Amino acid sequence: MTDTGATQTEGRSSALPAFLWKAVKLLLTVIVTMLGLLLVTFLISHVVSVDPVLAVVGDRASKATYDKMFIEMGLDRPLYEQFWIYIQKVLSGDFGKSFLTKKYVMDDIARAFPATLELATLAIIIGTAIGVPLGIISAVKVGRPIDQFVRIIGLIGYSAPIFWLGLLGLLVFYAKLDWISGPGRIDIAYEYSITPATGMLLVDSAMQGQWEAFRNAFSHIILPASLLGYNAMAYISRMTRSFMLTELAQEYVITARVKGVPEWRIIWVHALRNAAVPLVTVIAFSYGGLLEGSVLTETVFAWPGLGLYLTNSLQVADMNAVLGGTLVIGAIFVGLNLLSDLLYSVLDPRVRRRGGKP
Amino acid sequence: MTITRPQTRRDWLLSDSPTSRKQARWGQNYRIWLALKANRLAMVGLWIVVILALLALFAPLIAPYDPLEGIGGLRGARLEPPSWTHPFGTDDLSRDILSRVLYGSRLTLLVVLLVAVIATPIGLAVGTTAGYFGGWVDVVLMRITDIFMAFPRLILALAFASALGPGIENAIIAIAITAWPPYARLARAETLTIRETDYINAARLQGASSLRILWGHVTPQCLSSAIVRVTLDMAGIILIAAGLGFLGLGAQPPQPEWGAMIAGGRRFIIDQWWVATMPGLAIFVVALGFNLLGDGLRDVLDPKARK
Amino acid sequence: MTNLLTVDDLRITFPTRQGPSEVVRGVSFALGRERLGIVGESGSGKSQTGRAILGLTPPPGVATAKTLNFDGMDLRGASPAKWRELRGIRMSMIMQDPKFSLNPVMTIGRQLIEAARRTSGRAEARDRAMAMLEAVQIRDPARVFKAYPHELSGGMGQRAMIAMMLITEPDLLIADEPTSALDVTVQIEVLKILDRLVTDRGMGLIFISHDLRLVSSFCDRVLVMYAGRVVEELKASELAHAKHPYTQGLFKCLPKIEGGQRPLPTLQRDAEWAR
Repeated sequence: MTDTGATQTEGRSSALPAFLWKAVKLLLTVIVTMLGLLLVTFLISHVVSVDPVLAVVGDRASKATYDKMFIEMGLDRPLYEQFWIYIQKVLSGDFGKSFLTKKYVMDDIARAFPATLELATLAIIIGTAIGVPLGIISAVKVGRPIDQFVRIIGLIGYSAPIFWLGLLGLLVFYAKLDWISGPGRIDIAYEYSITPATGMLLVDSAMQGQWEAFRNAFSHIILPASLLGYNAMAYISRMTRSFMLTELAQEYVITARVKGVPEWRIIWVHALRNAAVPLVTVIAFSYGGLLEGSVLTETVFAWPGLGLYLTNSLQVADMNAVLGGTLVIGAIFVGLNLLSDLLYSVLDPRVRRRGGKP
Repeated sequence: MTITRPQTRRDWLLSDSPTSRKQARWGQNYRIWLALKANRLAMVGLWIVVILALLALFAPLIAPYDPLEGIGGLRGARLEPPSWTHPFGTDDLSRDILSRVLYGSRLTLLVVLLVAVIATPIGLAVGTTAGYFGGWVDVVLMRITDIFMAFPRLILALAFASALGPGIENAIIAIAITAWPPYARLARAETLTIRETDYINAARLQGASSLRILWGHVTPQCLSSAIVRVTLDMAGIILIAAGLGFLGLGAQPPQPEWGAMIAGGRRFIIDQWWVATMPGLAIFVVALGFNLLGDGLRDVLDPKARK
Repeated sequence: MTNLLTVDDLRITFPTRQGPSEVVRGVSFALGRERLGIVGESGSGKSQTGRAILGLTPPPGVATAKTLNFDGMDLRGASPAKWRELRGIRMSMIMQDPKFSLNPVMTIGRQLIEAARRTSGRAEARDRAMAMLEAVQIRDPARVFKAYPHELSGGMGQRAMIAMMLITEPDLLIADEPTSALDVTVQIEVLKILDRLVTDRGMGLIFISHDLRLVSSFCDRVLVMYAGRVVEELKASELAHAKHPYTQGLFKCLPKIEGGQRPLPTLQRDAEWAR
């Protein structure tokens, strides 16, 4: 007779399989998407105007060498068979050889990756640390000058070409003001004082106590990371504002006011905790977007990461490298989106058990 | 006794009881226009876009110098700072940068328009078809859409552009290939909402073919969200095109493509900063204009997406 | 009985595109340690009246009054510090739907402790929270303490809400449609609990609802609101002798156990009531 609220808990026992089921479905989607990525890159490589055989054997090879290479590369086989071989190769990590560096593309990518990782990670930290508070302030003071101001800063962030800002940044902060170091990751003088461990110079030098090297690495990374961070901050602050506005309009905020909870706590604990759920997914998504931004940024700053590798390869149409790089970045992007989806499920207590609707 | 003043055009447009479909449609458009006008930032955006279009159209008349021929070649007015004769300065081949920027606006506008014209119909077609027919067609088409959306746009455009080779036509194709998926998503969502409405059913009963229904009834519904999306996308397209140009994959020299101009001026950034800065400024202003206009349009046409 | 709350000529105005709109137009009443019901339909201004007493009129709305006095303190233009002294400690409010009025990402326990901490230390707050959950007849207080709002049924959630709002033993409680989102059988249970708690603590209660029958059985006095005004104020026991046609109409529309009259009575509105 008395309501015990037991009805809702009956679903609990079947909650675990429900969560697994969702994970399985997600995994399937990811696999299909990855196959699609492979297909797209495979097709691109066949659209190429540069003859891939020539790229390997060179212009002056004889017809016999050409034919031999043609068969060796499997180009005489039907398309679907070629695709199958391609999939196998990719899964075993073989992206072919770059004709530019003469090494295996996979090795090149592995070497370049930590540089991009370091840059993107620092950038997302900057972007979040600045973007989230700005978004919150914009939401709390919605419509007022500060809101407009933040909006305009954000607008500039996604209207200005990042490579242009990079050049201007180098001009002002490096050439004119001499506040930071120029292009490159670290001055040659310090390069050998750090033993590579994680491949991330800031982390390695700090772990090894090489503080001068750390300072040098920092002065190299700060400008590109800030620019990328600015790019991310524009989107993050906009979304934070939007989520916070939704939360601040909810009834539980009124309840909290009735309880006499101080306003700052209502904003930073009550509302933010709710807004954090979709916000974390936005941040994970932005992280992926930074990979994109880093392509052009690395070019301007001669940052030896994945982006620079990609652009160097494209300029000479080194298709193995281009496609390998594209595939890796695409895969990371898909992985990050998957992560965002999973994070959402984990963070929102309402979604944690299937059937719990907000 | 009340004296009625003669109905002005504005009254006709804003009338609460329109007497013809034409009046209703014009009235609605006028209301949208009024709402847009009230948003100052959006108007700034609109002006920027209009000025871009005018500059592009009248570039040959406005530009003081020829964009391709330098004055005096390598021994002429190389790398001159901004002055009264050369408001944006000159580049390393003695070409007037202002003129090049003005002519470059034509290339920018060309790219933006062509990409929009190619990508939007493809996206709408895919989306409406998927939404309308459902079932396998839907699943397959949406998988394809998702796959294209799984790549970051710039990267995919770079990959295609490098495969196709340099040149502005290839750049346009490459960008268009990456631009259509959002329209497919959008069109599918809209189609799903109206698929079972009575007027669609009525059209079917009258014997209209699926194609006719899709083209004549479903697609117009998607148009307003598509327009907002296109405007918002334009800034992104401009930036991607500039990125391609910067990497040497767009219009080839001596074409005055803005991104390529920045790349060209990169060597001189420290002492002759204007060579790289001016084209970048142009890109920034134009992208800003489209973003402001797009934001304003979205606030007006799609109130659900506000705030 | 000294007055706990005195309200004179309360007016609440919201700006709209067509000019300012007054949703509450001169409401006056006094409340002691008794139960006052405010009945009205949607749009009558009853909820806004409740919010204004707590100073929670949502911007851009503005509330003004000739008198708004709580236990000798003038609430008009009170500073945020003053409100913080009163809200949650001496004045409280329960709202309609616990699905929305409780923070979905915080456990019930945490929300209760947050309320209790206003008047006691950490350890004591936890004990009081558990005690309160028992007081509202929640059978398994330890489980509910650790649960999230969406894991509770409507009735339990509302009881948790009551616990949260009464834990600091306020003098005045405003209940804004506290049972409207609940099933009828659950309504009775929740009301019984509310009844007992209010009586035990000698609180003043303002019960806002659209349900005339509910209000008349629960409260001592009833205020009937229509279009922002109080059209009648009377004792709950005297409802059958209501003087204003609106109240009479409402009363006539209540279903009777001995069977209805045919044709069913409907409310005939008079534009005069809205003036």
